[in-house]
Amino acid sequence: MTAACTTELANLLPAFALDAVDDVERDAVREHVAGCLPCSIELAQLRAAAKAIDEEQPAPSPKVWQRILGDVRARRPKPAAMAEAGEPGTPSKPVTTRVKARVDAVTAADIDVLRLTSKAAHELLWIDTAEEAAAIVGDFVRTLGGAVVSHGANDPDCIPIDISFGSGTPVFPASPQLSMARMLLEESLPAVVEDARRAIALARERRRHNS
Amino acid sequence: VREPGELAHLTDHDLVAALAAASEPALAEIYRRYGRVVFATSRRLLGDDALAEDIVQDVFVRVWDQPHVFDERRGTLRTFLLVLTRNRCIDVLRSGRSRRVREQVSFDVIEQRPTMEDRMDDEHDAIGVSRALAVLPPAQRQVIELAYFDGLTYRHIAKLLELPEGTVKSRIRLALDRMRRLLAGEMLTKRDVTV
Repeated sequence: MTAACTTELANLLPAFALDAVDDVERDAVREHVAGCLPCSIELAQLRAAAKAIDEEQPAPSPKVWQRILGDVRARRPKPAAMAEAGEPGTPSKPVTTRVKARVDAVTAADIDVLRLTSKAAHELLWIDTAEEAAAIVGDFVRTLGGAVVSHGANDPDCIPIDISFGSGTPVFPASPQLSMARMLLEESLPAVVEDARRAIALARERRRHNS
Repeated sequence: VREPGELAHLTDHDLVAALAAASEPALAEIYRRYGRVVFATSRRLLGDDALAEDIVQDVFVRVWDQPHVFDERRGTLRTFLLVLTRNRCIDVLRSGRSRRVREQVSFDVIEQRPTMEDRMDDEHDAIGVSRALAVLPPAQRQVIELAYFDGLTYRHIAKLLELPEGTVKSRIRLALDRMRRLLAGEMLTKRDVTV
């Protein structure tokens, strides 16, 4: 059994766990706990108790998060809004151009998404059929944590974009609303879908030209 | 956004820095960490779920708009969010939008804190008492609530309640110890059930 710490700072651990100490004390406790095993063990237990208070508080309705997202998206324009990919649209700048434009304003999570977006765009350059495009986009969705489902677009978890691209039974990306995967998909999928549609159209043109 | 996301490993400081780069995942993680306490605090102050949700929206959009306003040297992100929350609640109370104002209850509830009995009555009637806090004796529960919902330090609580600082610290310790034992008992019970 670990002997209890007898320093004055140990007396501050409960208040520290509740974030009820001032800045000087907070720094002192942090520094002390980093080198004191008994205090680090006790603090972990106190934090678990403090966290129980948080867990028992009622959560705001899920709609609140959606309202917040709506507000922040209206305030700072984000690239590739979902509506852009709802229908086959006019050609836009290639993914690589859009990637470059965003590089200055990304976080670690975004960087990973951008890497996957670029990879998908690269693979789409070499497709010959809609099936191949569907497979690439399906992989993209799954890598970001989503699923590809064939049931109808009435499911709120479905994003209503058919990513079979006419190659068979319609399939849709799906991810629980408010999940991180959903957020990443909503931001990044439109550009990939748009590139897939263009790649399929180009492949058809090539086939027509060759025949 | 209750499940830990891929930014769950980041510190509050890193998350706020990411907000400056317009990272929605960072905002989602901050919301996951503090959305409940902001909502709970607003709800206690305003006594109205819909108004409290408006406050939650205001507070997180404000953080998104102006992440630079948060200064780590002046306190934690949690404390900062609670200060924003209280200020917004006071604005709402002053504007007369809240139920309490409509019922002509002075917004002095903010500055002149209600008695413990008032608070308990209020919460039993309108809000309900969380199970973890309900196990505490009133004196311990009071200090925990002042720290948790009002973001006060133990020194401020001591001054407010006119108690020695040592008494407040020991009440916080007794309260958390009690809750810790409760949690340990619950875990034991769950294990017994599942084995």
